[in-house]
Amino acid sequence: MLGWFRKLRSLGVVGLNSRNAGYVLPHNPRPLYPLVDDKITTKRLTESAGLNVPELYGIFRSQHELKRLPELLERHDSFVVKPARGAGGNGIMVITGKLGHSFRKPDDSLVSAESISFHILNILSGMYSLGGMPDRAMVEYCVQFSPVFRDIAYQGVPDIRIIVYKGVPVMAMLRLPTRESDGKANLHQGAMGCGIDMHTGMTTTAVWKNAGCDTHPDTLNPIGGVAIPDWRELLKQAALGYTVTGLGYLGVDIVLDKTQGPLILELNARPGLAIQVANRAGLRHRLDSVDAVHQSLETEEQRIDYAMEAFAS
Amino acid sequence: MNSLQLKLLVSLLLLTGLGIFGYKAFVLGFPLTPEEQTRTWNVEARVSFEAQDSPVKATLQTLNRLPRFVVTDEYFISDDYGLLRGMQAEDGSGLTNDTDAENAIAVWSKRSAKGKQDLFYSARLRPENNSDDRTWVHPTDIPRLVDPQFTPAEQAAANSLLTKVGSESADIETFVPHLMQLLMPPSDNTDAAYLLRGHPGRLGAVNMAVRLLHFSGIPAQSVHGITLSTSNNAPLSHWLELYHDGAWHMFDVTQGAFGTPGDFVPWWRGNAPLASLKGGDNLEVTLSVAPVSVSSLKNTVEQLNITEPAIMGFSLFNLPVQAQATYRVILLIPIGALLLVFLRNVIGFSTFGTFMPALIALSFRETELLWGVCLFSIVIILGLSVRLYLEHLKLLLVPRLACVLIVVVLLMAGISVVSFKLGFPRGISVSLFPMVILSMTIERVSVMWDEMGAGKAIQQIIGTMAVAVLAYLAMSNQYIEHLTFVFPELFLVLLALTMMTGRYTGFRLLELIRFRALLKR
Repeated sequence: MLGWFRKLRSLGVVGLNSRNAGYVLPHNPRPLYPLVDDKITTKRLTESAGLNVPELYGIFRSQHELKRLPELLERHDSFVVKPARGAGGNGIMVITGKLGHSFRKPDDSLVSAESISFHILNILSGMYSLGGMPDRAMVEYCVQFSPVFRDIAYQGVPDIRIIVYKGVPVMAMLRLPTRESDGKANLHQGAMGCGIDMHTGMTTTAVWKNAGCDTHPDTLNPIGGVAIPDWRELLKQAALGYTVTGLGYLGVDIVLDKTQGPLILELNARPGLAIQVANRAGLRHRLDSVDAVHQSLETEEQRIDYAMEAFAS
Repeated sequence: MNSLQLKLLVSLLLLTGLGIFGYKAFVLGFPLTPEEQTRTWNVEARVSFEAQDSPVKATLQTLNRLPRFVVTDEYFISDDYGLLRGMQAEDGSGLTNDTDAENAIAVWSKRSAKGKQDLFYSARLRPENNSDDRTWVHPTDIPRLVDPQFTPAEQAAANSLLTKVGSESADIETFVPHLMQLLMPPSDNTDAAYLLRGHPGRLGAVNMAVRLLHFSGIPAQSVHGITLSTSNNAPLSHWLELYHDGAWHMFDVTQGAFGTPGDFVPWWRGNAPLASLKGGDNLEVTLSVAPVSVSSLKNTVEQLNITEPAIMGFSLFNLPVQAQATYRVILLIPIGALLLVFLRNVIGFSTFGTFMPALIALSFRETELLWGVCLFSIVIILGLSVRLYLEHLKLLLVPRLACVLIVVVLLMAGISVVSFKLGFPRGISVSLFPMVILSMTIERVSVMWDEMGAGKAIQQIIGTMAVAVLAYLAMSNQYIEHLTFVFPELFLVLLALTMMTGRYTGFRLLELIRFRALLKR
């Protein structure tokens, strides 16, 4: 067993304890957390800095504001309802279309307007927020995901997670929902994780349920070699996340929209570690090399150049 | 800097905690395990006599400083006698203030008494836990020799006897046994027989031996006492004590050998009688001995209350009994917390809430493990179905939580009534505490059920239960409970360990599974 620990260490794998003590605690000062914990704040912040985010249709702060809901539902056919302070993708309701008086979810089930209203009420009472604090609900643009991943995605929205350390993107992963993950992009729940080559933006290796895998389990198409368009722009958006928040160790979740290109969905002050499994590489060596040079990297462009050069696989 | 600070703090905490712990355990003698029983002895002397309607004065030798024992709980029971306590020299001459005098006596007196009188003296003997330290020893000044006051004829007999014994022995170790052999009745040595005339019995022989030893220049005295074994009429036995080579040696007259007595308790020394009486007849003293088993903890605490009240003044034992009982439970929470820290940060378990398992474990203490797990499972399953049904009614969060709470209370009341009816008394052992925890658990489980699916929720419940059971086992362990309550300073050690775990940046055990895909290459 000690041998396994040693092997993990030599691979440069970062564990939870080491992530918290070595990166999250020293580089993410607690006062900065509200910037990313509250998605409404994040949205305002990123919008004003010129980052692409999904358009915000409305915010519900209290129960009586719900009377604005019918009018909002009238205007939009597809949208996403989410808690401002939710964590881990909890409490997100996606509506993809209308069918008479009902609304359609991605899995083609129908919900009524009352269900949506009830869901918002649950969000307001703090059911999905950290620590059960009263929360706000936001309704925003539902991403029309880009056909790039048509062959390798099943339901749900594939997203790209990029770890940004001191402003330098160090590792990226494409998360593909599967039938088993029920449209969710969380690896724990059976989504598929694909490593991405930092230089070319092409998918490389993939893991599904903790085992290497070459094809998507539902569509049976090969995973590797899919090029992500506008890769450099994507990295730039991620690196801007650092400029905007000041968080030294940051996870940036980006989705590719059919028409709007990359949209930042979420910033995460304590991103998970599954990205290492997807890339079949440890984070430690990359983080160490950033530590060595980050003083000399002043602009986003320099950081991205460095990342694309240094972390090519 | 920070790391240095932490190291210093951790070592300071460890040193302080372990230091106090070691002092209490090994110097003060607090027991390390809970059910260590020490035998203490109740000793009672009953003095009875016939008073002659005149002033009465009765003197009784009482227990004094004894090696290996502490005398506590001394009672002098006498209706309306005046009581005087004091010290007496070995030769039995009067009361003295000299603290070097080895005998303590009690003097009961009364202006006038008539008829049968009963006076009692009782005492408790507690063994000392740490014999090296406080064992009472004889005064070290070299005892003076006393003139044995022999008549010329006795002197001749003594001389002849001592010459005979001296020629047959090589040193003091052989001299004394030989001498005692000749003196012990019935003696066939004519010198011995002459010397012992008028001094019958073993007491006479011992007293004569003391005089003869003084005569030959060896300081000696007789020791009278009892053997600790249950008895209503304990016989007095007499030992010889002699000073030789700078130390006192005990000589067992009945065994005819030197040795430190094991269960012999010296009551008094010298040639004074056990009791004496003025103004009465038929003086009779009965000694009785009975063992009492007390926990060594109680023994230590009571003993320290007598010898070192300052230390005991700042201890949990000083609190009212009910507060002590509460602290016995409260002090266990940090144990559960440390276990939880270990299971989460080193092993990598994930549980509902941070300290929920510790709280569940605490409520298991009230219900007992098996029944607690059953009760929790039943109530969680039923409560969860109710909660899922309430979902259909589209109630708001807080009212729904209240509904779940009400249903849990009803369920638990129902279970209690039914199980009592069926004859399982455990069913009613639930109390306020588990109720709240159950409702919170049900709510958390149901949110997770919605979000992550049934499989994940059940997995989490089982994980939480497993951690709770582990925490319960640690928290209900009587050794741990004993250690935390008797040695609360161990929490400094606990704090140090927790701080050290807080700096553990290595992999968690379950991360081996998480990263197993990386290991396969």
